[in-house]
Amino acid sequence: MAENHQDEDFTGHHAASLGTAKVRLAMVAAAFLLGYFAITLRLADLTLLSTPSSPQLAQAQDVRPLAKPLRASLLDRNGEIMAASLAMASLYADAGQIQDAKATAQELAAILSDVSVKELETKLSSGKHFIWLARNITPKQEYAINALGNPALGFQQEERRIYPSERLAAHLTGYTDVDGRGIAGAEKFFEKQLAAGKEPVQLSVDLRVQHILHRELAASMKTFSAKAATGVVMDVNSGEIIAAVSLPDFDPLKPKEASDDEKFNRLTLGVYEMGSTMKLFSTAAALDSGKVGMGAVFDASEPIKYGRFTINDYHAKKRAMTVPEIFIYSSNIGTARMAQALGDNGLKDFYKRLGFFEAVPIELPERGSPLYPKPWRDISTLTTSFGHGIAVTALHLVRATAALANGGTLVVPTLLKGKKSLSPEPEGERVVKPQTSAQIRQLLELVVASGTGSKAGVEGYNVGGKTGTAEKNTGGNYKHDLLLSSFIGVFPIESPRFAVLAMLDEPKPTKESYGYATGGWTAAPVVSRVVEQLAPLYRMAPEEDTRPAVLQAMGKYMKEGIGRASAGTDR
Amino acid sequence: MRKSALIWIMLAVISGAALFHTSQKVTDGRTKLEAIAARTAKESEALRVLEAEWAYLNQPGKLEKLVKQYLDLAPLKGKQFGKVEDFAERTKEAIASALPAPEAEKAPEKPVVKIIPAATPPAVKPAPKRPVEASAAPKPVVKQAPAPAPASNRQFGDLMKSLGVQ
Repeated sequence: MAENHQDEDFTGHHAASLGTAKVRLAMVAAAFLLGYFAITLRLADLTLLSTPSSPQLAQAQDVRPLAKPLRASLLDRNGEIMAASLAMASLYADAGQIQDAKATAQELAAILSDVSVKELETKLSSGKHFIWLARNITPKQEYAINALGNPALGFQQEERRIYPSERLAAHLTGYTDVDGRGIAGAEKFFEKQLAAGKEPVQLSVDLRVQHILHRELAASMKTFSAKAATGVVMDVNSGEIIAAVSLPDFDPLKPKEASDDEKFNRLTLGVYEMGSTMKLFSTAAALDSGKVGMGAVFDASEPIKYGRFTINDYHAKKRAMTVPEIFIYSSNIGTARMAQALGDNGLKDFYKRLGFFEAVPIELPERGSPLYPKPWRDISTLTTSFGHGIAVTALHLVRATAALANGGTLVVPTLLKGKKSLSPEPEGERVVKPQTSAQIRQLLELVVASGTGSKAGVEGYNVGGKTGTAEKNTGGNYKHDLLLSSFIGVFPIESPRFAVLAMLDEPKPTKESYGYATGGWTAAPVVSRVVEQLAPLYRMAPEEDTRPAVLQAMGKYMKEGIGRASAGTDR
Repeated sequence: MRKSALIWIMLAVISGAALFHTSQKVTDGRTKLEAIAARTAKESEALRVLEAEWAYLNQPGKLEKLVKQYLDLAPLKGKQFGKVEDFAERTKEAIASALPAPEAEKAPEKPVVKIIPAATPPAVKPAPKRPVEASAAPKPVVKQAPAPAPASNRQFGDLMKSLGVQ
């Protein structure tokens, strides 16, 4: 023993210091003893007493977490999710550690329903140190695989973008690539903000209205065997897009399975010769110039011959007509004469002010540039006045109509929910006088009250609008039976809140429509049904019918009285 | 000297033990924190999944189908909106004559609410026609819904009275 040894060594020499040393030693020994005792206690505590912490350790072991924050969500104006990212587990294996490839493959195949045993077995017996077995598996499958307790299997958290509203707003949300980067729609436009993963992006879209528009457009498309359809609901004062549909559409979850035709955005990318709906703008240009009043008369008795062109009416009245008559009978000749009265660049400048010569500003990467005559000749003024020779997007049309309806302010269409409530004072460039806007509203209501747009009428709500039926220009020729039928509606017409557009591409006539496939028969009913459902949804109380008042006010301009134009005569 | 050494050693041991204890506590705390953070992350991830599923199940198209299949509810229509002024006028003129018999017997005893189930539609059906003719068609609302008029009229009249509307 150490103590005895020391004892012998120091006896006799330093008896006093020996005592001191003994005390010191005892103290040191005591300190060590205390230390050992503490360690013993702690050891007992860790091994015998504290069990609850151990399962946590085992659980957290084999899932590799995500490297970056999850992509932020896209929400609709009511906070409903339009696109969200979820962390989902993907299964990988270290094939070098697999002991019985066949048995493991069978076990896994039973859990992962969509992978074959053979496929798994080849992967598991490959000997590679890292090999993917299944991507984005469900939490249930993850749990079952965990329960196998195979140390050669592991999980990697991966991000998956999902679209709970499926195809409802596919062209607005767009979609992402395999790495979760936005490559179309709002996903692409707001890429930076979404990738940062902090704040969700709240769109102006109302999924309920989106559904109504989608349902009605799809139904009409089916009824009239149309090739495609487009619709927009926009707040005319704030420019917010409440709903926007392009059909046919696709599931943004599986963009690879979608055809190019389905992915094509007919709202903001496709440009079309709109036909008669453009008369709305040429008429507004004429009225706003001050050169033409409501009672002004234009001769529409003879077709206009200009070089090799002849401008004709489909349902010629063969007489002189006032502005409201030209508008509700949708006379090409009359409208062209009216545009002529504006002077050389009158119509061109007006179209330019309405934004018809540049891509429409909207928070989407898919923006189509309009086509218009370059250079602008005299004949261009005549043809573009009734929508021939100028092609714009559906959103151009809605935006310009909103400007004419809201008192004359050209608002900027937006996909982002505004901070203010719906329908604030419109902000933007003034394009027509308030009086012109009031006159246009009267004309729009007249079209629904008596003219080609009667099928857009809704009980309890006063809708105004203009029909359009354009013959499609294929290879330089206008085809008589290939139509682009549309209706642009505004309501409530007295103080407008919403503009609603419905457009059908190549609708075919049916028995029920008496052989017509015009805007008044195909698109106007869609607008009517959308307004009918949208108005109560936004708590808009029904109003008194103002149609009789408008008919009376406009009656003095109508030679043949009111109520002669039918829904089929709107070309 | 010896005593002071003893004190110093004791202090050193005590502070050492205290330090050990504190560092153990910190380690424990950190482990707990990590566990809680992991659980929070897991819960918020679960929340994300549930929210997405909720959004998926709440697709307007899906709800519409379910409502059609299982419920007698329909979306609000423009026709169903009414103006307060219309009701106020109706209560003033029509109510007194609309319910002549039941008011005399039951009104003072029982609360108004109890009357509603008692006034079955067939029993009072002829009643509302009288006031409409007598008061020279006060408002179109009465004409549109003659059957439920007496019961709701009464209830509404009392409501209006209690609100101080004449």
